Parts: sequence; C-alpha cells; structure tokens
Amino acid sequence: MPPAAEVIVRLITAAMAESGLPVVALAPDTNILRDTGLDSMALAVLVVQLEEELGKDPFAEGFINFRTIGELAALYER
Amino acid sequence: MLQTTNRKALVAALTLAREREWQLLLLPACWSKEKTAQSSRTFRPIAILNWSEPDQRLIFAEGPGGAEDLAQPGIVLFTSGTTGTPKAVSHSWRSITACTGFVPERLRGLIWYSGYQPISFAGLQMFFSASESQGVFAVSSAGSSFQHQARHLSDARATIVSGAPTWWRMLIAAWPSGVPKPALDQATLGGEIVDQATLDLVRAQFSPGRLTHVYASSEAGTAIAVSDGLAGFPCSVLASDREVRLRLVDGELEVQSPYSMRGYLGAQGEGPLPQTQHGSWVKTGDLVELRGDRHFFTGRKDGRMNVGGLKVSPEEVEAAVLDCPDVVDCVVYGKSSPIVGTILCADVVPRRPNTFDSAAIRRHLQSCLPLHKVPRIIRAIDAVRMSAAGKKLRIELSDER
Repeated sequence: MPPAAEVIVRLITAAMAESGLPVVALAPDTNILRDTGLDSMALAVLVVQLEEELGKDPFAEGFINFRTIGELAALYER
Repeated sequence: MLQTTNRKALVAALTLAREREWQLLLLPACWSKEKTAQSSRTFRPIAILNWSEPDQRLIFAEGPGGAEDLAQPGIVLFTSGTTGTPKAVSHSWRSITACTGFVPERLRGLIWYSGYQPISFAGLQMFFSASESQGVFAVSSAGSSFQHQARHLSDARATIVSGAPTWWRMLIAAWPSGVPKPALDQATLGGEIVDQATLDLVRAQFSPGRLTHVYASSEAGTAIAVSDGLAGFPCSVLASDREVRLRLVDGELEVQSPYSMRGYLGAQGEGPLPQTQHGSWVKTGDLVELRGDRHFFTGRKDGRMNVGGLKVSPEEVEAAVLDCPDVVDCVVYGKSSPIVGTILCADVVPRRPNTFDSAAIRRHLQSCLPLHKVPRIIRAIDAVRMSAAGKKLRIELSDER
C-alpha cells in the first residue's frame, strides 16, 4: 500500500472508532462513504488531518471526486 | 392532532393550510415538547406542523388560534438567531409560493427531488414549485445515506434536482456504481456559497439542461438565480429595474423584494409584533466582493459561519468552550473545506499543557450545544492571537492553509 493510503487507513480507523461505528477492515478498494459509515463532516475532518500529516492539500482549488481509499491516496501521491 | 410517518400527510397538511389560508407554524425538527408548547402560546397559530426527528414522525396539530389580528395567513418558519435564539420569520402564502411563478412551461409535469428537508425554506420552495407545476415531489427521510438518496432519486426518475453544494458533492461521491445517473432537466444549488468546482462537477456528472445556483434566505426570499454556469453573479442583477432589487451597503447585500418575509414575529417573547414592513430593505448579513465583472459571496458580516446550511456564531461556541474546566482561553473559527464548505474549529489554551483533553471538551460541548455547533477539530495552542484592537483574530486563522 502506498504511504498516503496507509495514513488514510489509520485516520479512517480512528474516525470510525471515535464515532462509535463498527470498525471494518480497510483496503485500497474500500468505498469510503459506502463502506465505513462516515459522514460528509467526518470526511472533511479527514481531509484536514491528511493536510497536516502529508503537508499537501489536493483540494486547494476545489472538490475533486473520489470514492475509494486508493483514489483518495492517488490525489496525495501526484 | 395528526401524528404520522407518512409523508403524504405532509403534502395534505401543507395543501390544506394553504387552501384554507391558515397561519401555519413550522417547527424545527429538534424542538422539545416544552418549546413547541411555548411557541404555540406565544404565536397562537391556527395550525402547527412539526417533523419529529428521532422517530421520523410528522405532527400536525391544531393551534390555539383566536388572536385574529396576529394570526396572519401564511407560514411561520424559524431561523437561527445570532445569539442562538431562533427568530420567527413570517411569510404570507403569496411570498412563500412566489417561486411557483418562475417554473418555465417546459418543466411542467416533471419529477422533482429535493436535497433539502421539506420543513425548510428551500424545501418548501421545491414542494410548492413541484405541486404548482403539476409535478411530483420526492424527498428522502432525514438522515438517509447518500447511497439511499442516489437510488431513490434514480428510481423516482427525478429530472429536477435541488440541494446545497455539500449535498451535491456527497451525492456524487457516494453514487453507487450500478445505479444509472439520470440526465437532468434542471439542477439547482443553493443554501451555501457555490463554488466553480462544484458547479463543474454537477455539470459533468448530470449534464443538466439548465444549471442554476440560487441565493435565498428565509427572510429575503429567493433573491438571485444565476444560470450561466459560473460561480458568483453578474453585475446586471444589481440593476434597478428588476422586481427583486439588490443593493450593496458597505459590502453587505440588501434585498427589497415582493417575496421577502412579512417580518419577524415576537422578538424576545414580547408578543407577536411584526418588526419590519413587508417590502422594505432586508439586510442579509452576507458580504459580497467584486472580482473582475462578477460579485462573489465571501462570508457573514457578523462573523457567523455557515456550517452545513446552519448559522453558527463563534462567540456562542467560545462561551461554551470556556465553561470547560481546564480551559483558559479559546478561539473558534471556520476553516474552509472543499467537502462541507466550513469545518468548525476550536483552538484551546489549556490550564496546563498536560491537561489538554480534546475528547473531554467535545463531550462537554455535546452536552450543551446542538451537534452542528460542536467544533469538529479541537487543538491545543499556547495563546490566542489578538488584533491591535484586542479582538480575537479569527479571519487570519480560517485563511491559514
């Protein structure tokens, strides 16, 4: 798994635990909104945390559509 | 009193109240029985409509009525006030249904899907537009997942769809791969500041025949609708010959419209007296900036933030954070987010560095504030930065990237 994906998996796992959601196993093809139970606000917080950890904000110019952990990670790998 | 989970009852209740020219009080979903009873005593409406969130029930009740001079026919809605005290906004049936006059002939008899809950200003606009144009109104239950909403929208064969930018982004991100995306006749965005990236995304995903973004508020009514596919609005909407007149006063947008509210009811519980005259200039509190040949919304004059379509005052949240033991000082601000528009953040100065416990602060805030006012990001800082005038520097914080 690329480093960005590992960070994403760690942060989503923590977010699921914090929201009291069942913690599911995560993989690059996990669809974030469908499979994790996280809502839009949790996703927004994740993006802020990723910016802090990875020092990059791929959404600086606006929203880019993504579904899976792999697709989100790819935005940080570019 | 009617209590039902059947949404057809909502349609029946709204239609009946309009036909009979009642004064109908629409209560926010989260209100307690006590608060509902208090509003009923204060405003003495003829009928009350309340959507109870936890059990998904629609409650349609007879109000005390009797105060004929006060019970003006129309709808009373509640908006979040600056200090957290909701304000009662009174609309006539004519102003709340004015939107129906703007549905073009080619959009008659179609299926509308609302990303707004029906008991909100935007949801009501959708409902009345759909019903008046012989169309069908579809909306998913509050709290439905975005996958569910995507399926519902697709199964209902809706071709007129309206929602806030955050709602559109989430709908698109969550769209299940097996569900076909309909080509829309009309896509509308509103309720939050609309950015170019989201407009482009909606166009690319649904190829709408017309892509519109709307500026409206419960008080001012629908004031601006732009369909050129570009964020912001052209200077021409400030022209004086329009039915809805707009002006900028110190950067703040003011609206004079035949479709604005009649006025506020019952300020501070002093009894229901309209504070402003119908048709006078409404100060929206929204700040506008000219960039090139278009105007763009930049935020609120009073510093309040728009969190998921709900207004949040940083001072109110700061007061709650300062109530926490082990907190010396704090600053609450909004950080702009590509996903939800604004994320509420709190930077906290703990009594001692090792006493900082963000989870404890969050638990405290959850016990005394509605969920949308609880900061999602809580961090420890050494000191709150102040301006020369001794004001907390919130704007600089929200701009930091």
